[in-house]
Amino acid sequence: MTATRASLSPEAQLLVLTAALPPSDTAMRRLLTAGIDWAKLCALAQHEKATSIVLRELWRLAPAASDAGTSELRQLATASVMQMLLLEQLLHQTLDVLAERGIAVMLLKGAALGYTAYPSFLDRPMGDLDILVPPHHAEQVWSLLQTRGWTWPSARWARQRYTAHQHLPPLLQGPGGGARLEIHGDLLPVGHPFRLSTAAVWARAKQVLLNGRALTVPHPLHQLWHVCVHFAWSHEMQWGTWRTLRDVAAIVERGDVDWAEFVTLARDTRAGTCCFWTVRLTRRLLGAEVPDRVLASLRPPRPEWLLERIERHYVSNLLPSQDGCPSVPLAHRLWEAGILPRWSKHGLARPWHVCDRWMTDNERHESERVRHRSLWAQLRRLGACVQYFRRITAFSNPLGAR
Amino acid sequence: MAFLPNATRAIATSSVVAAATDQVSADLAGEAIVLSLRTAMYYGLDQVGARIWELVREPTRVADVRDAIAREYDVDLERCERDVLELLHQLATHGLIEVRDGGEAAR
Repeated sequence: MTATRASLSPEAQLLVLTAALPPSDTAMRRLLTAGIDWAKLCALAQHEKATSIVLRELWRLAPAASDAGTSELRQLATASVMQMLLLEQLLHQTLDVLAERGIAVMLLKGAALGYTAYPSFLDRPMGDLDILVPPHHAEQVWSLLQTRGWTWPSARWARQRYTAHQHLPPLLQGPGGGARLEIHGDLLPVGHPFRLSTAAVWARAKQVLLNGRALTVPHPLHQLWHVCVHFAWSHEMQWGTWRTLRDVAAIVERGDVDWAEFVTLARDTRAGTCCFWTVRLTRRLLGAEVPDRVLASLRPPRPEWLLERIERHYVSNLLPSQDGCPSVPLAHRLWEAGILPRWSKHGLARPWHVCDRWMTDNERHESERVRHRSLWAQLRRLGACVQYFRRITAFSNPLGAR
Repeated sequence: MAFLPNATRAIATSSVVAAATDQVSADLAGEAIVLSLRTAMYYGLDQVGARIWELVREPTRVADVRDAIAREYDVDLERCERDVLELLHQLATHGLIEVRDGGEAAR
């Protein structure tokens, strides 16, 4: 067990292990034997949309195991698989509608990876469908699909909140609006600092055949690039962790990444540090075979002892945890310490600026109210930050597994 | 000979059954989940049901399904036949399988 993974709770470790391809049966059995809080595992798996895969891996290890914990996991996993079955059908129906109109469509994120990096679409759980269309077609597609069973809950996702976003307001379909579709005109929101144009992604897109249907997906390099940037920049390494690690591991396992070209792409597009941290974390936590030379080429110009400590912060915040950073401003500074936006030529662009654009007036007011806490609350927060900082910077392994 | 969806036709051991074309399914840790594309309803099958579902993915004689289940689960043939026919009847009722009459009435 790596020291990095040992800093996670047993439930988080088990969850992370199920993302490996293949998972380590020995490590998982060790954790199960030592005892797992099933409620925590279920909550984490649900949060990460990993329930069906976690259940599959645990069942593979111990088919006869049955208790309240696995029962709850099975219920959650069943619901997840039901949604995935629906999503796949709706995806194909949507592709048919757009093909009738001669509108080019590229699958993004989970939808693309499900058909290229995993045995099947169902092997890559996702919360929604992401498709990319030429920007000048985005509005047309969005309107057209609303005449084909998709609905736009305008009160929930106001149109004006998406003017600078990479996709239009999500559309819903299915029982209880269970299926969600995001129509992208771009990969990243307005204001991002990267130098990869959507036109370049279209230019190198590939076609894959599925049951006689041609699907357009990003080039493997762009798939990996997008996974890294989406995780490390858009989500600040605090959301979608399990799927990200698994996606990187799956792409690496697929074996079609030209690593030299990937390094060049990452550097040239100012995504070097984002790619570095995503692949480094995948290697450290899952044992993915990322070549040393790739990490060496992408690493920020900082000593390894500092990178180790920054990594501890990132790992502490990959999943919901009581050990996470107690302060948003501190988390931003530590994110910057690893991503080095100025060194990476990101200028003033920061992912939280995108989040700020999202806020409604009420949310902004609440955020301002939280900043103006009582002096006592501020002192308590300061104390928690000092404790957290000491924990991640200590020269011994600071976080023991609970 | 074409398969016909038939919710009311008796299924005999000589009948040939097959999963309907307007459904999709997934295995999940020993069980199966089936989504009817016609009705948008989901169905869950336990371990034995999932095994039967696997056997009828391709056109299969009911007697062969019965024999396979009886062998794999070491159960009494007569009881097995009863239970298999009951499940297949339910699947047919919900349009999840198609039945080709084999000409012999169910006991």
